[in-house]
Amino acid sequence: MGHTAVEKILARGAGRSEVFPGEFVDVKADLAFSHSPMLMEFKHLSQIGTMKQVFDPEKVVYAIGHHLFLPADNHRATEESKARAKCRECGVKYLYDQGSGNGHYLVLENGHLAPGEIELGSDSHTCGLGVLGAYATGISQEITEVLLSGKIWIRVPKTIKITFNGRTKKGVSARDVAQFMLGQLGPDAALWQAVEFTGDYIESLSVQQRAIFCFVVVEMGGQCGFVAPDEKTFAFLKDRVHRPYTPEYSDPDAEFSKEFVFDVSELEPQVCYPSSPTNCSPLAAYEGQPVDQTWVGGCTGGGIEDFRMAAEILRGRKVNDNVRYLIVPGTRAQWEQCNREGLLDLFMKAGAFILPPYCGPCQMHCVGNLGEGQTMVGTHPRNWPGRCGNAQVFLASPYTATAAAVEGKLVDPRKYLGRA
Amino acid sequence: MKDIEVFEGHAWTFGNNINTESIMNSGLEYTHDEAVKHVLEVYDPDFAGQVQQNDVIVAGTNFGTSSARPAAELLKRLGVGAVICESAARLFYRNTWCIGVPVLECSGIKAITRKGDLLRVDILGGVVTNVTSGKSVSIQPIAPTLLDIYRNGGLVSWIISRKEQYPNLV
Repeated sequence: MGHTAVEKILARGAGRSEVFPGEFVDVKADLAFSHSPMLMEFKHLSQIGTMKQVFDPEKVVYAIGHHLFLPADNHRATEESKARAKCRECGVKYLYDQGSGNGHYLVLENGHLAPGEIELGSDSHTCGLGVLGAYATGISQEITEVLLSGKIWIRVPKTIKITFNGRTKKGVSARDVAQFMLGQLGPDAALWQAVEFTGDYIESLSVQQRAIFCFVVVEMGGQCGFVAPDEKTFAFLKDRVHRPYTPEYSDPDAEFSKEFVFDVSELEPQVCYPSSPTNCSPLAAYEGQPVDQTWVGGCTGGGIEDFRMAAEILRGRKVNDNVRYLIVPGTRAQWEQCNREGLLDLFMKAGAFILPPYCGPCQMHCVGNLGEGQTMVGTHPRNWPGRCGNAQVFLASPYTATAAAVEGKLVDPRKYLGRA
Repeated sequence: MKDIEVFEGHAWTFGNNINTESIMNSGLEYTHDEAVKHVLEVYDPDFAGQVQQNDVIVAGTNFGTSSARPAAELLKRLGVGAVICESAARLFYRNTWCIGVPVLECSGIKAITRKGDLLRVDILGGVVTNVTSGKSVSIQPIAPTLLDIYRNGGLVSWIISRKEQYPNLV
């Protein structure tokens, strides 16, 4: 019996010829990622001792600006200044400061991870980096152990295979398809498991749009997403990764725990309704739902293509007076690309708030927080209770979030896209 | 190394897919004095104010889903003895043992537990017994490293106990 790509990557990381689902193995990290929420690793270290240096300065990325583009208050200003100082003390070479953007996008853009490698991160959405054909997963508290030793224990996951075929209709994006999948499979469909995405629809997407599928793996309980690296992946990495790497692929006779096949061709725009990321409905059922705030950004919507979709809707139109519409590019590179293409000008003239790069009001860490009883729609991945106060949060595509900005309510965005 | 003792506590029952933001609310991560008043209030407004030392959370599948935040810091502060569930979300499971609160996956626990029942938790014996009803369920195998971390009093103490293994730590 063959092995899945994830099993092969973990075998290499464990220094073994093969590993099997269910086994506990210690693996070496090729990349440790932290966005330092609440400085947990530094709080641990303050009780443990002094870390002279992280396990390998080349293999650690710190994204202080993941949740905040600037400190939101005195407390967080103090915390971030401590985090920066600590990073410098222990030799962190790749320190992305506030205003740099969403840490996962930074890892992707800056070549910190390559096919076949292992990333261990403090954040639950680390799973999205499997889009590069890597094993990437969140480990949270245990990031302290990774920073010290470069190793962590992993329970080797079974792998689920999900195939998407066909082409979406105009006005239906990868965010819609990913939302539909979550609705079909549910919040614990992939508990502790890996999910490999394949099919001609996935192949047709850019690396960044493919990543949406890998990021939402955790919303169905998964350990990591995975897309087999192809020519698009290698082209994306060409000017970003200069070290040798070894892609891994699932063997033809690999055993998948489950397989699902979806045809995307007839799919209509989808919406996730409050309050679970796997609640999914055709948008039509929620047309007319008023919204107070709408935004495009987050790890499932902060790339250049997401802003192009937003611009397609907004060109020649204005943001509704009753709505706050936020544009939150994932990183400075995405921001600059929006600028080069004239999108920032378009957004500004239409009445949008253009924010510095970070992960946006996906939760209440920085700005754009909602008041009692307010409603938001965004392209971000989560709407669980307690994430945005008592607000009602819908999740949707950049098209739908932007059409809602124009009308002040959820509407089918295709009316603004002309004929298919 | 601490002994893992058998203990008893009353059950607070919850459903499936309870998320970590409902335990540690977003925006309150930095202010535990405030955050602790709102633990699980969206699901049971009485919980935070009335939970007693060693009381246990009994829940369905995928407990602790969503964010990687250290939600169990608040459960520990409230004195929660253990989280006993049909299944646990991966990050919550890892985090919560590291913080020093056991997470026990026990198939069938929901069916044998009502709110307020007295449960006896025997981690090393691998069994949870409902003292009120007399029924019991077995605990699924626990990741060996997490059990080791727990025995040492949590992640920080575990790392200290292995200090000589880290050449970069003084």
